[in-house]
Amino acid sequence: MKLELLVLTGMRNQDGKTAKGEAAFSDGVEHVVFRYEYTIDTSEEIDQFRVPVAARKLMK
Amino acid sequence: MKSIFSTTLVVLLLAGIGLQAADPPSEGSAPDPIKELRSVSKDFLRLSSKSGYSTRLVIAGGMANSKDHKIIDQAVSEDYFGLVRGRLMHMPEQKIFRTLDKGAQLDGDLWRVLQSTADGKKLDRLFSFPERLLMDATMKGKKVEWLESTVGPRKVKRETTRSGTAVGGSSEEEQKIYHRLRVTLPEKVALQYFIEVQNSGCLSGG
Repeated sequence: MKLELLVLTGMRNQDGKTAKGEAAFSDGVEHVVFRYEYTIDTSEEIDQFRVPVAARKLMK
Repeated sequence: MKSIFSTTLVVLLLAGIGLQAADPPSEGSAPDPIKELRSVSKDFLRLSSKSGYSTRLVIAGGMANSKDHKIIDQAVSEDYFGLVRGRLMHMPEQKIFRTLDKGAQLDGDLWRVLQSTADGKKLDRLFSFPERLLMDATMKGKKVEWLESTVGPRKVKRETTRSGTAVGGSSEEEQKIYHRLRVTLPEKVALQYFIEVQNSGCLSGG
């Protein structure tokens, strides 16, 4: 299974103006992109973790 | 990189899920994407708790200037791997255990709070549990839609009956595969994700 998260952020242009809505992410318009690509494998069972006591305490 | 932002948008794409098997559509119609998204999230939570999964996350961040959002000036590149079982994630390479909001990392002989180091903080902010993303998509998604399939249709046999007789037959027909979903989240949620990126310190080189 694949899961992709795309975070898009529009930028103000030199005049301090911004395009509205999806126009801020269109051709020729600079924008910031963060792409998170998860590849998830469920084919094998994951053993229960043995978490050391000291680590467990920090996660309480 | 400047952090002067205006509009934000977050889109979640899911692919390769056994969506159609769970709820085959009636003839000619697509399954309800919202219903399928809920079903996937629920099944995924159940699977995570029962048998777990492994996940690799590759993050790329930077500037783009085209509508396909291809990064032309990359500022951030991260790669993480984790094993998840229930509410716990284990990252064996970094000797880390995490829950949704806390974590511990082995540093020499000592366990430390994950968020107490710059690298740990960055990891914590950038590497969300997939369950969280699916939950956000299910609860807050403003638009859920099917994307064009990347695989061809599958052939299914359908039972047919002839009117006026008890004799039936079967015919083979092609059924479209629905396996890619796109969820668009509200601007408010997009902003939260962007703030997490900023708070991770990855944009300032920290």
